Parts: sequence; structure tokens; C-alpha cells
Amino acid sequence: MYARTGQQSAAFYVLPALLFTAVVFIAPLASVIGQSFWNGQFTTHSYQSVISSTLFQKVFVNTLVISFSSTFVALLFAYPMAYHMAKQTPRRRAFLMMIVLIPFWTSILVKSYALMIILGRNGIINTTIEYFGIPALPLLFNRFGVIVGTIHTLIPFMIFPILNSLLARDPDLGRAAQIMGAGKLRIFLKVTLPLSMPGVAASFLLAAVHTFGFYVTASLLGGRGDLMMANLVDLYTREILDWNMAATIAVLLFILCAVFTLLMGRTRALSTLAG
Amino acid sequence: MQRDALIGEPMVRLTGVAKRYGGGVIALDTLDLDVMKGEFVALLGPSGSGKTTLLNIIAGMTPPSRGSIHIAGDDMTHLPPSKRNLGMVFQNYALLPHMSVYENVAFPLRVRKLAEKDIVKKVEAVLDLVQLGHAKKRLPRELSGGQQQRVSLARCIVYDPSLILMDEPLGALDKKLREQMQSEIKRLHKTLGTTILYVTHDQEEALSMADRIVLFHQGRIVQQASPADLYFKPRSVFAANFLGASNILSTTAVGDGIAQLKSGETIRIGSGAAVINNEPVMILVRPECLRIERYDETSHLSAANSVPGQIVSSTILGNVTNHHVLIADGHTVMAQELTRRTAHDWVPGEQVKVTWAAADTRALEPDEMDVHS
Repeated sequence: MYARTGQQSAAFYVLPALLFTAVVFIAPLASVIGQSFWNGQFTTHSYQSVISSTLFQKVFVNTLVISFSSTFVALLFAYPMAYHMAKQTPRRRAFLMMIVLIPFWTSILVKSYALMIILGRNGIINTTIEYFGIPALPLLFNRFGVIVGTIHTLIPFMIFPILNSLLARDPDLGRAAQIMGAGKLRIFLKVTLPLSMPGVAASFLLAAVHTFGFYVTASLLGGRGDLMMANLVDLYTREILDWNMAATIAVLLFILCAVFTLLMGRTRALSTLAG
Repeated sequence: MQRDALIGEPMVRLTGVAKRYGGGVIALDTLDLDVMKGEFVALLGPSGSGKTTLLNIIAGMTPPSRGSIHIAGDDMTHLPPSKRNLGMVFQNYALLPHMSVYENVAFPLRVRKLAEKDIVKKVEAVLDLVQLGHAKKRLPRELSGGQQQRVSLARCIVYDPSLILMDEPLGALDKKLREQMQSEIKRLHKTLGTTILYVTHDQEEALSMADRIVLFHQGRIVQQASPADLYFKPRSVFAANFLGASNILSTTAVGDGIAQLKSGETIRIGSGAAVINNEPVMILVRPECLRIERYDETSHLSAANSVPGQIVSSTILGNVTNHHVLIADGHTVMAQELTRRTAHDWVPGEQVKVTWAAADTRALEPDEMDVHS
């Protein structure tokens, strides 16, 4: 790895960021963890009541279902896009990346309101299909709305790890397979796809972890039954005013994310091995 | 070589093939080339000379702007690479990194939908042939560069393609391994009788391996001949310079087979291009053909060319010694001789004469200047 002097200078370069993180992340996190165990006195009672609460169980399952189904569908959109981008000239690819990044840079609030305009009862889709005599579809304030909003946010996140793994491929592999007589489908299934799996795994986990903490999308586009964990934290903080419970749910959400982040580290390690 | 004089049908016949890119860039000027069945042909030239473009055209990776490609008698000009039944060995091996050695070699057979038991038999046979029978379960990254290239060779010969294309296959290996692989490839070529087109920029590799060398320069074939003919009878200054070390003297023709140095010495020409009186002519003498003699000594060689000069330096390189001599016309030539303990020790500054036989003197065609501009 690094020489000792390298590590010392690394500490020097990382120190400012470390101090900043300590103040704005580690300290509040410690305070939240403390609060989850403190209700006038030290207690683990909140953990027992959160875990046995049917509301929490329902929201926990909701969160996983929304996250994984959105991530999976987003992957189906992201992979072909990444595949197409990988085949372009660098110049054209840079242009396509810009297009992908514009929604990525747009505020999630703006995107959610835009989707409300498209999906709403009097939105673009429903007015169009009603014009053709088809009855309006419930597209907003339900699970469908949340998933559409989440997918929209996720696609840019998913494209880049996949694109990287596709670009890292040796272009001669495809040529070699072609000369050996393989057709396009076989080359994709036997060469391109397996070699891009580390990128797919990384992008899947990255996107899933990202969605665990989604809040705005669920509260703006979802219905009453589509609470996610972050919405539950908000409910306990601002409506029920039970900060002990809110902190407990936040800690559980943190643990969920941490577990998946560690998994992601594993796939990175695997993908470097494969390379 | 006359096309009609060849016996039998060629394995590869290129007719009027050319490649131009937008903006008038000529990657490959119109050329014809035949490769006979079982022949080992090296495409030799500096980078950018068109040899790799030609290989890609034959493979079907690059469509030619003009001309036709016949392989084993069939017109392949418009067929995709997958339909040409060719094999290709790449510089970076191009092994599928997620598949074992066995699966890599089995890949082309699976494409051809062979029965599993035939696949097992064939794969094991070729892996034994390249001495990698023990490594079939390993992944490519667990093998050395030389072993990976042997897998890649096995993967080519296993499906018996009409022609194997090799694109600088040994370029990524170190010198010793490269020499080992050269003899390995030659051995496989001899045993299997495969037709091989081998792209390289390494003249020694081309000289030591090929039956015939096709020399490329600026998108054209400048000469094609057997290694010995190309070495002893280069046609142009480029060919003489590209293969082996050479001394090239600028002279003026003064008669039939006679030229004169600027300093006045006449030189008899043994072979090569026709010369025209009073026109400049470039003359090739290989360093190993030059002898250095004492200035006052009578020459041992009859009909010898002889030019006075002065020793600049002598360097022992091992089994050969290189002497640099400043000759009368102001150029420095190199004479090479076998290193001998008893050889005379030439001292820098010593007056000498450089002699060589007329038979070792070859008139060269001048290089065509950049024909595209």
C-alpha cells in the first residue's frame, strides 16, 4: 500500500474534511444515537416499542419494497442507456452525459412538482387518454407515483457505474468474439453482460442505499399508505413530538444504510479483483 | 511474384483493395496481394504504414473503400467478421477474463454448436499441443503473458480457421519470451500447415519467422520477397534501411555499373536498379560486407571497391565489433566484423581504407517522396 510518509501526508490532506465531518455529521449522529437511548433516563425501551410497532413494520417493508422495485426498474432503463453511451465517440458521450446530468442537478422538489403536473388527475397523461375516451388512471398520490418519482431520480445514479464498467472493457474482447464467429446476442450475453456485472451490482446497491432515506418523493407523490422511514422520523419529530422514538427510527435507518454500504464495498473489491 | 505463376488457388486474394478516410487521407493505396495455402506471410512496416489497416480489412473490421477480398475462393468483401471463418491473435491476448482457459478455448466451438463430447476432445487436444493441459481450469489472469498468448493461439487453431491473423502478437512480451514464442508459433505453423498473416514492425521477427515478407510504407507495398531476398536485394532506400543495418552512399553514375563518390573514387555496382549516366544513385553496402585494411596494404579482394578513410571508433558488442570510419566523401560508414582476439586494434584517427566486393554493392531506387500530397 502506501509508504509511511504517504500516510502522514494523507492525514494532513484529509484533516480539514475530517474536522468538518466531525462537526456536522459525527457529532449530530452521536447526539441522535444518544437520544435514542435517552428518555429522561437511559433506556432501550424505544427500540422494543419501535420494532414491535405494526406502523414501523409496515413502513420498513414499504421502504424496502419501494427502494428495491424502483432500483430494479431504474436498472432496466439505465443499462441500455449506459450501453448506448459506451458505444459513442468520447465527444458524443460527453454530450449525452450532460443530458443525463441535467435532471441529476435539478432539485428534487422541482422534479416532484413537475411529475405532479404530468401524472395528476388533470395532468398531461390523463387529459390525453380521456380525450381518446379512456377513463383517467390513478397515477399520483399512490405507490405508482412514488416509484415513478424514485426511478426518475435514480437513473443518473445508476448509469455512471455501469458506463464505467462498460468503458473499462477491452474493446478487443468483442472483436475477438466476433472473429470467432459469435453473433451480437451471444457477444452481449456471454461477454459484455457478465463483464459489466460488477458495475451493475455497484450501481444497484448505490441506488438502493440512496433511496432508503427518500423523503420528499414519498411525501409529495405518495398516498397515505406510502410512508417511508424518513417520513416516519418526520412524523415522530413534528407531529407526535416523541424525539426518543424519532431518534430510534433514524438509528435503524442508519444501520440499514450502513449494512448496504458495506456490501457495496465488497462488490467494489470484487470488481477490482475481476479487472 | 507473378500472380499467374503461383501454383493452385491462393487462400487469400486481395484485388485492388484501398482504404481512404474523409479529408483525402489514404490509409492504404490500391494493392493486390495473394497468400497461398499454408504460407506464413509477415506484413512488415513502421506504424502508420497501413499493415494493420490491411489486417482489419481482411478480418472484416474495416470495410475497404475499394477492391475485393476472397478467402478460400469465396468473396468475403461484404461479409461480417463472424462469417469469415478466420482466427485472430491479438497483442493483448483478448482472452475472456471471466472464463477459464478451457472455456476460452471452447468458446468458438460452442459458437459452432459442436457436441459437448467433441468439444472436450478438441479442447484437450489443442491445450496439450500448446503445453497447457494442466492449466485448463485456471483463469487467464492467473497465467503469465506467454501462457496467455499460448491460450489465445490454442483458441484459434481449435476451430481450424482458413487463415489466422496475428496482430503484433508478441509485442507485449519480453525479449526472451518473445524468442520462445516465435519458435512455438513456427512449430505450430509447421505441424498444422495453417495459413498465417502476421503483422509486425519488428524486422528480426519478420526475417526469422516468415516465408515471405510484405514490406509496407506509407500505405503501399514497397516490396515483397523471401527474408533472404529482401535482405540481400532490397529495391529501395527505405527497404534497405528498414531491414538490417545498412551503409548508404550517395554517388553519381558514370557508366554502366559504375558510380563515383563525391570525392572521386569509382565504385563498381554488382546489382540493383538500372542507373542513368550523370544521374545521382544511392548505393547500399551492408556493414558485414565492408573490410578495413591498412592504408598501404594491397587488397585481398579482386574487383574490390576501395575508399580511403579514417577510424572514428571501434566498439565491441560481444561476438561482433563495429568500426565507424569517416570516408573520403565526408560520410561515416560502419563496418562490422566478428570479434577476434587476434584482430588488429584500430586506433581512432588511424588512416585506413575500406574495401568491399562489387557483388556486395547494390544500386537502390530512390524513395518516392510522399505520393499523397
